[in-house]
Amino acid sequence: MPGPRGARVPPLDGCDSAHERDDLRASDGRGSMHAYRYSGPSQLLTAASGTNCRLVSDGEALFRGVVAQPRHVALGLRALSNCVRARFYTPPGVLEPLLDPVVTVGQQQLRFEGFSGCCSTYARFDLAEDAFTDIEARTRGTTNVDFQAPMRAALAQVRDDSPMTLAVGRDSVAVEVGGGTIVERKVPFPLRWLRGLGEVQAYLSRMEPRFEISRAEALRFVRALPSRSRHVSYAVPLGRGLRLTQTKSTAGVAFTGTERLRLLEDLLPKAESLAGYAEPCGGSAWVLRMGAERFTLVLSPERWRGFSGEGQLLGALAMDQVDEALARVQASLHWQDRLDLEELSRESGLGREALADALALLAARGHVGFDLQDGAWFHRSLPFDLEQVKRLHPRLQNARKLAEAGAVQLEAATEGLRARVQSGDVSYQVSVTGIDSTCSCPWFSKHHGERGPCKHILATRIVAEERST
Amino acid sequence: MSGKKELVEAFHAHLEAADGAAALHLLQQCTEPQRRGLAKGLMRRLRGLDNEFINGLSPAEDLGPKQQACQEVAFAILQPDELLSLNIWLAEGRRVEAIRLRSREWIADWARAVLASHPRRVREVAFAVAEGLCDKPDAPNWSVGFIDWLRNVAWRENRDLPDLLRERPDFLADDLWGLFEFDGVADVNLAGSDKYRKRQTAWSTALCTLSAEGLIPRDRLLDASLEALARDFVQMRAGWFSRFHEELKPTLEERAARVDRYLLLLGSTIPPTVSFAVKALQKLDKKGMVPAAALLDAIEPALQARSKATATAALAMLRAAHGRNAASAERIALLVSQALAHEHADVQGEAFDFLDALIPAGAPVPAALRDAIEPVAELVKPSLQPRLARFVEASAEVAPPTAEHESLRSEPVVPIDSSEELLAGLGAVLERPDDAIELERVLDGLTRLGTDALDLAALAKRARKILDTYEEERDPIAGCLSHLVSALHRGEPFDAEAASESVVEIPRMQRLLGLLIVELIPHLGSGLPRLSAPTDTRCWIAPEVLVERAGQHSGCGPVDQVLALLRLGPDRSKPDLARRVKDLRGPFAVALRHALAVSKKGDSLDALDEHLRLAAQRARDPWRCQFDCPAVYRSNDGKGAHYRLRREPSVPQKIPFLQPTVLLHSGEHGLADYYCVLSEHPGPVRWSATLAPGCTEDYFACGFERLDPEWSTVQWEARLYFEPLLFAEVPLGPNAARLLAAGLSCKEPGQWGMALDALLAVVHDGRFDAELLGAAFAELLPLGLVKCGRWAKSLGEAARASTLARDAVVATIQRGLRGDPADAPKDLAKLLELLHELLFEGGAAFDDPEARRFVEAIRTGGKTAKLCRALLAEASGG
Repeated sequence: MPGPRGARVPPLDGCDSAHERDDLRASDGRGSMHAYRYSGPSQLLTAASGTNCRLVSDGEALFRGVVAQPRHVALGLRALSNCVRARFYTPPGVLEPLLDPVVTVGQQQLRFEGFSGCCSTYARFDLAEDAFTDIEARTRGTTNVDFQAPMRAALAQVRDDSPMTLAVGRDSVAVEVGGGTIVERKVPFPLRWLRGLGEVQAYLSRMEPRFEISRAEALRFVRALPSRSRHVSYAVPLGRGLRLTQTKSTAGVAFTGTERLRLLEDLLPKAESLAGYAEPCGGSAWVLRMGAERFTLVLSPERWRGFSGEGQLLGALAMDQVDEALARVQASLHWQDRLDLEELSRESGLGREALADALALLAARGHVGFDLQDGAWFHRSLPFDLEQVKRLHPRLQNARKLAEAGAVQLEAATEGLRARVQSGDVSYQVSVTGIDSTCSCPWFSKHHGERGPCKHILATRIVAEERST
Repeated sequence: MSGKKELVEAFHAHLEAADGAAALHLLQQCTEPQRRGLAKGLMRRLRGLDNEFINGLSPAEDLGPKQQACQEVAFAILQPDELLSLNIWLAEGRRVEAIRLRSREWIADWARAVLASHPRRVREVAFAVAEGLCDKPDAPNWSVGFIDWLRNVAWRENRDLPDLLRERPDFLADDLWGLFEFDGVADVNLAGSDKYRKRQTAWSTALCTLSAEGLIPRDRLLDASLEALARDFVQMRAGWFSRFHEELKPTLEERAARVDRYLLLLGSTIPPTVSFAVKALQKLDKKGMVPAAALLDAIEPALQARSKATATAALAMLRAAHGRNAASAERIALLVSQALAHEHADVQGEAFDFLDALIPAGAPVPAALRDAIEPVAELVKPSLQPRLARFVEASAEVAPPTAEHESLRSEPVVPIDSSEELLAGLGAVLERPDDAIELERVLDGLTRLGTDALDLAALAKRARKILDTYEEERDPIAGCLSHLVSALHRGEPFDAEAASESVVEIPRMQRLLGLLIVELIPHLGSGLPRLSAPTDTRCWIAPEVLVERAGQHSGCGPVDQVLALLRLGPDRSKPDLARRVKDLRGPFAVALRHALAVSKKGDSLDALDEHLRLAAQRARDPWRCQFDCPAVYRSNDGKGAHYRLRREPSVPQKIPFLQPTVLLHSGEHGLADYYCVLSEHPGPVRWSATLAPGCTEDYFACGFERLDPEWSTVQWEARLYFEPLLFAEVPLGPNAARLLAAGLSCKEPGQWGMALDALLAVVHDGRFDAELLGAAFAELLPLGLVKCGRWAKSLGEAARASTLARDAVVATIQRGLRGDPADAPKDLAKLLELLHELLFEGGAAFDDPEARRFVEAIRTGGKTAKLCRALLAEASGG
């Protein structure tokens, strides 16, 4: 039930400003680091000339355009909203989920992104230029938009035969409709979203295509899925369609929690095809192509693994020396919908590997995202103090503490790095060779690096980097 | 009060004395910032009192007054979230006096926060409103809270809900409508409230009663219920509004006035709401009261609905619309084509009937219709494919799916060859104890390499943590290895007696593993491979390897010896094997020779210990089943219905540990505390499959009894029993067939999914036996535990995999139609429908005489009878 969520953000003693309170909340690693203030609710207003879908954010007006296929867009936004309202796993100490998607207005694309309440599922709805018959205004930027139940309900009634205008940004309409009263709704932006937004890009950039099936086959496959499941399943190509199997298959796409995939069901009647992508650590991506619109669903390897807790980017975040490279790459970012790596390499003067590291770090900071369709990075910029990201990763913080406490003892090695890392009363053996790392700690024994490096490996890398400089 | 320190001291002195009045009086003389300055101390005090109470540190009679005093003044000091976190409620008395010290805005914030925390706290806010402390908040939970509150009042005062509502005209005039705007929360909502109540005490009945009395405007109720359905409510909660709408019994005129709203609801993403709207529109449509153009604009989602009844009703309305407006035939045909994608053949059939009527034979098919049908053509059922031909051209043949990946082959086990690898392996098994092969590698690595070069400190710390968890929660294998790691790390001398005692305390399956470990400890670092270490991933030991090991080893324990014999590989064709085994000496050598069918003068099986003798006899014929299982029956115990097998001879009540193959069956007696190799954890289930790789029929028998036809007693690890069937070398015996048949009708996706994989593996590598699997189907059919709908779904999925699989499914269903049809489940038609479609698709005949007799004997009408007639007509290939 949507409530006055602003009231749920308690003021803390000794804090004068809202920002200061938010920063304090951020310091515990769980709360928010930024809060949006909406001037009013997003609304779907029906007039004789058509429907106006006004998505309110706390920034300036970013976009206004006439949608070519209103029902597609309405279903896509609702599916995204279904995702952010869903919770596929309830961890202890559950937090209030954020229900408002992030919107990026790029040069030619409009992208809506969001995570499920458990952060295990990421959804993105992309609208290309062709999705609009007319674009009246476009200012590049990224923001959150208000997206509450009344808006969802209104979207359910949109049909293709009624013209729809989509607007993103602060809007005076709320004032007009509300009789001159601005109802400010303050929404904290959770840190787990910020961490997740970075991690999911790392997953996406490693995805490989496995299949693409027609709408009819997609409908058959998704409708035949069990309503929920807890084991790993594999969607493997069978003829023109797919078959679900429990037996490990490299030709298929592995995923857990069929209920997560069923988020696509409402969109399938409007889809042209469904493409499946897999990546080595067990993550999967499912892309519904709907003409000029695209809906992407990314599933973490397990329902209980939120993207925010993954550590795919920790290796990049641990390296301080890439700051200069980062600045050079950042200077070349101009809201491109597709970053040309060759050009970027030329402009920044960075080699392939250094550029990859820089992009990984930019992803971690929310500055770039990855588009599966194009197989390329795109620029966006979340409006937060992203320098905080480094100190908000507990594993990285712990690694730094180990490094600062002198717990890492590098040992002579013929190849790569070897070290003993004293953690508490136990000493762990770490070995780093190229991109392969091993550690004798339980975390590594359990995950074998699938969830990123453990704190001991990170500490070893940090110390080695310090020594090298 | 002169200073802050004095204020704090005086305040806490009053609270210590449990004098709430004095404390409040003190606060009344303070400014807001001064009062806020006392917040931290008050919260500390309140938490301290809670702690004392919970831990019994002070008598409750002393704590009560102090807590009371603190809570009374809290409303003057703390913030709303602090009050909520301490669960302090507003009530009459000094709490009201305290809250009066706050501003009206603050109280409004508090009211909103309290309501947002849970609608049940509406009573508190209502009290504040009644006291004039704040205005009625504009919050969703305000209205929702009344659902629970008024119900409780009615129950407590033994009154009717309508009575209570009549006394609240303000609520009826205003707040009531909030219930149609917000669907509530998980435990407070109209659907949940009415679900477990008698009809006469339900909210829906109360509102209908008051509407009939004229106290609530009927038109507004009708409109509000439809508006609620258009909102984005949770499916379960939305259902209340559609039921309520119908409970109001709208007249045709009332429905006609709302036809636009019904049409709008066709676009709902909630399937029952679409069905509701279709039913309402059908009533109007029969009287011609639905505008055809509006219907055509809105009907498409109903044609795509999963519900057969909804799609059929939508087609019927389109038919009626066509009758009224023949000019729209092409547009109607485009819409009808959407129903061809429906999963029910009946819907597809009706759609074809309609299309044939719209586009008469010989008339050109419009290009737009062709384009619309083409993408869904592949979803049309085989029996209807001939009707498709006139609308679209035959699609290109798709190459039959390959099934190379279906079966697994055993591969050699690569021994651990370094201390580093051993340490990593040991850590991995502690964290992932469900990998039986890795466990065997680690045990073998420990035996050969020993622990001298291992730094076990980190693992020992982890082992201690594992052992600190509840025994029921941890995997027994992880627990057993944790004991081992702890003991090794302590560096204590390994006393077999002491170690044995420690593992004897651990019940069930771990004991066998524990005893094995005890036997291995004296041999750690011996440099020799463990006698029973498997040489392939099916856990067989190549005979020549075991013969070689038997020549090297001395002093192996009985568990190791028994396991080695039970794992003796079935391929005994290596030359020179007989000569080499003859050279061996000792009791194990005698047992091994017997197992390999090699005779040597002087060998006497009777002279061996019982465990060796039995293991040798089993190893001689590794695939032999321990017990015959001539019949299946249904057991209804306290945990729900399960499959059971009758075993001959019956399983002994007491089974020695050294007979692990018999241990597999001990679950038959339901002896929960009996030492059994089965477990609720994946690790032991997988490991028990490796104890005697040939005793698969025994293993499958146990798995069959542990499957869960329904969710009620679901055991997640039961899916693992199918795994050996994925190996091409494992034969399909009667118990394997039973396991497959039962698994294909399980509800748990993991179980039926694995059963499906196993069936395809069996079919594609040539192990399939239609008689055997069909017999299992026939056995299970009358037990009342299977649902034919699930069989039809899983077999239909299997049949899609390849033509081989389709033929196997057809043969299985035909062989499964045995016995008395009167005992068959009511939904047998679903299985018959699948058979009909597959026979049509493959151009095969319904030629099994017994199956034909079964179908002929079915005495029923409707769809089943229609299918029976269709099947019997296919005697000569359709």
